[in-house]
Amino acid sequence: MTIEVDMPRKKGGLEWKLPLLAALVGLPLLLGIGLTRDPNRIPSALVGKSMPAFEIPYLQRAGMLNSAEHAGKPMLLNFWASWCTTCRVEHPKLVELGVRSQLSDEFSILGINYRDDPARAAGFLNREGHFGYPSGYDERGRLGIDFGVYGMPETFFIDADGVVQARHAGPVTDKVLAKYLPLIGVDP
Amino acid sequence: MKRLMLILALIVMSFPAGAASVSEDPTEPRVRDLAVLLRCPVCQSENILDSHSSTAREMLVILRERIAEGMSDAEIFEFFRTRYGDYVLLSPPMTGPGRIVWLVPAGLVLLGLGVFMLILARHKRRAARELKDSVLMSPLDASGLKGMEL
Repeated sequence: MTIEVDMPRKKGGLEWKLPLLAALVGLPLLLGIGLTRDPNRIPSALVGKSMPAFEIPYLQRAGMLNSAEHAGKPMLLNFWASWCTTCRVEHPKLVELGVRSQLSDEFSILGINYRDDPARAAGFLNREGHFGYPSGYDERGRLGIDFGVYGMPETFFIDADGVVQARHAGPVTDKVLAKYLPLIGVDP
Repeated sequence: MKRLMLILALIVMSFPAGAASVSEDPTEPRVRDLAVLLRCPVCQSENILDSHSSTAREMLVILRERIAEGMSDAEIFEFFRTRYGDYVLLSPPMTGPGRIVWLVPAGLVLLGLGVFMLILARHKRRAARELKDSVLMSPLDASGLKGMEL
């Protein structure tokens, strides 16, 4: 005769099937959420904080553009460049906003020409239309770094107290204005 | 005479020209140490030392300036953090949501270790039981022994 040892049979093994199932469902779910997130959207560190004060040369006239001179009113600060194709998309909207700010005095709007060549920037404005407001010239992108800018165009919405309420990366559209202008106390 | 001069010239020219050693600014190693920890905001998966984007180049210039001003590492990180947020730090801080990034992997390792120990303990217990069963549950008598090929 041979000795037969009754091997205890393996149980259902639910203990490991459950975590495996959780991993099989959970991991694709997490990755799926990851796919819907745009890695180009970096949250601005400036929102809720005071706008950095600046003084930089004007793009198309002598003298300096000083942020303090525009304080006390809601402000739109638009970073643009002639090499940026998306800037062409938002250009008519900005020109329109410039006209509105001149007529109504509800808010001020300023441009920052970012890492550009002044001659090319002038060519861009001659072709696309001039803004009704001045632009500063951020030759090396220093002011851009102060504002945490990572791409063109970017627009900052600053309230009358000088606090940055929103930052929009990408072209300014009616939808964008409807979303952010009320945050700084301006009717869209 | 001419020949002698030629020989002399050849001898002199055969000496290796001593290369002037390039001396680097003593702060450069620190610049590199810090630059690899700062993320380029434009290229996103590169640090500002490796990145060729103009923004990263300028950030490197700013980094050198801040070091020259005598800022501490923490102050320099804070300088970039106030502008670009935690995002700019390639090694996220252990506070707020940044903690998740540090704690989850550590938690998973601990969990795995726990599961492994549990399985190991169960195996040991089963092995011990089987041994006991095989020895004690079927006592061998003389008749049984006869049938066995010993």
